[in-house]
Amino acid sequence: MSPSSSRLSRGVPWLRSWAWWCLGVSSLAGVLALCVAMLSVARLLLSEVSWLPPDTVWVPNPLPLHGQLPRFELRDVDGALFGTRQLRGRAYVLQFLPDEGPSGNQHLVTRLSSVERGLVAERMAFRFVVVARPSFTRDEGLARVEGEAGRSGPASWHVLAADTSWEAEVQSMLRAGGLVEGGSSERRSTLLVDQAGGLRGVYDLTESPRAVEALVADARQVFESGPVPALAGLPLDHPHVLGVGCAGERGRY
Amino acid sequence: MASPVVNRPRSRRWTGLLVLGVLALVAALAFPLLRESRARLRARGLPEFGALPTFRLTDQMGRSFSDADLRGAVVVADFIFTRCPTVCPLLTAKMARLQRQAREAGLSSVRFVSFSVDPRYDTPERLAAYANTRHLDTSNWSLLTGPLEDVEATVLEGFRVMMGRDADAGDDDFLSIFHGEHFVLVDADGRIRGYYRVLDDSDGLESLQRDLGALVHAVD
Repeated sequence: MSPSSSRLSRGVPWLRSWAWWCLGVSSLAGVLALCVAMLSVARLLLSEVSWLPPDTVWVPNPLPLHGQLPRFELRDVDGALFGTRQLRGRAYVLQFLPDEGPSGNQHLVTRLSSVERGLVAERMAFRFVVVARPSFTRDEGLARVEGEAGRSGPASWHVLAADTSWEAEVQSMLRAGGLVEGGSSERRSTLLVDQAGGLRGVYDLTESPRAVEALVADARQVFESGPVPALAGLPLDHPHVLGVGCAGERGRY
Repeated sequence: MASPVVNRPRSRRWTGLLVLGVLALVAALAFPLLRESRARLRARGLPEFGALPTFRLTDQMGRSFSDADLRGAVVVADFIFTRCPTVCPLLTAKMARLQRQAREAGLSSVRFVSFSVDPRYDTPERLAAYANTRHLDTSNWSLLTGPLEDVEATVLEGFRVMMGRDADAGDDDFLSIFHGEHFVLVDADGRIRGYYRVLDDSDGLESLQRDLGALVHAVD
């Protein structure tokens, strides 16, 4: 046996032992890494309750939003400008009066008065904006909504002279949304507008006898829910989305 | 000849451990990716309620502040006034909590905005004093005021959140002011993605935290 082969034969067990040590250490490291990885997964699975959380539950406003009513500023019977700016924050009923003369509109105004009585009975402060065509003098304008409507106080009723281009915009919005059938019904439409100027309902008070009740019921929803389209954080069976604010000692705040 | 027979179970054990280790490592690496994709899915599933309104108002430092300052960031907005003795302090506390949680969660690209619904009274100085008194971190939280007309157009027509005051109330009658109590979530593309009720025991704040995180992760 040569000296070199003798050194090799002495070195082989040492090398083998060293290799086993390395393998042992790396196995231990592998096992540790495995433990750490499994612990990480377990921690994520157990502690992260929200890793696959339930989706947000939305309570939609009961009344659909049909779009934002175009802004307007029209002359009232006193010649003063009145429009969107003065109505911000207040829900209102908008009525276009057809060009049929005072007698032809009386039925419509009577129905509007019924709506107003229904709202007053439920202690809801709504404005009534009546847009009359053609342009009128002060006496003519008042005559159009006089009678039953005139008695309820001037603060809630605003009789305004029509603006052709604005009215065309509104009618085109109603047609685009499929909210009117066209023809004379467009001109008779009664619109429910929310506090933010959003269109929430269209009614034909002259044709449908139940339209008055429907309008009052929807107005109640707008009054309570406000303009917010949907809300998260309420139970699903909640009747409305509470968009206006809370009730305090002095009412809303 | 006996050694392979002895080593076979040992090698099987090693193979099993190796497979388990690889699986665990893959799971540990894939889990964040799974969460990211889940967040993206959640963000995609959030409803859209319209666009962030364009506005130009003034912040608590007296600087001009517009919607352009919010573009590219996920935004949480609320509506308060400094004289409010009732819900506004609570709303501000909830917003501060949300801001702290967002910071702790590493959601750095979030902006917080409070619009004053009593802008005639709430000057930038009063808003700054309000922020100081409550130790608010205004590094990514702006309190805004401006002409009443502009604020109304922004809050009411833009965010569709209620604000107003009783018709017969005087300027000093701050108890007649009413406003929506919701937090509004806006994504980085300037789209309103949610209204959240954060008061009471409702889970609106938790929903908002979840959706906020999802929108931020969807941007990342």
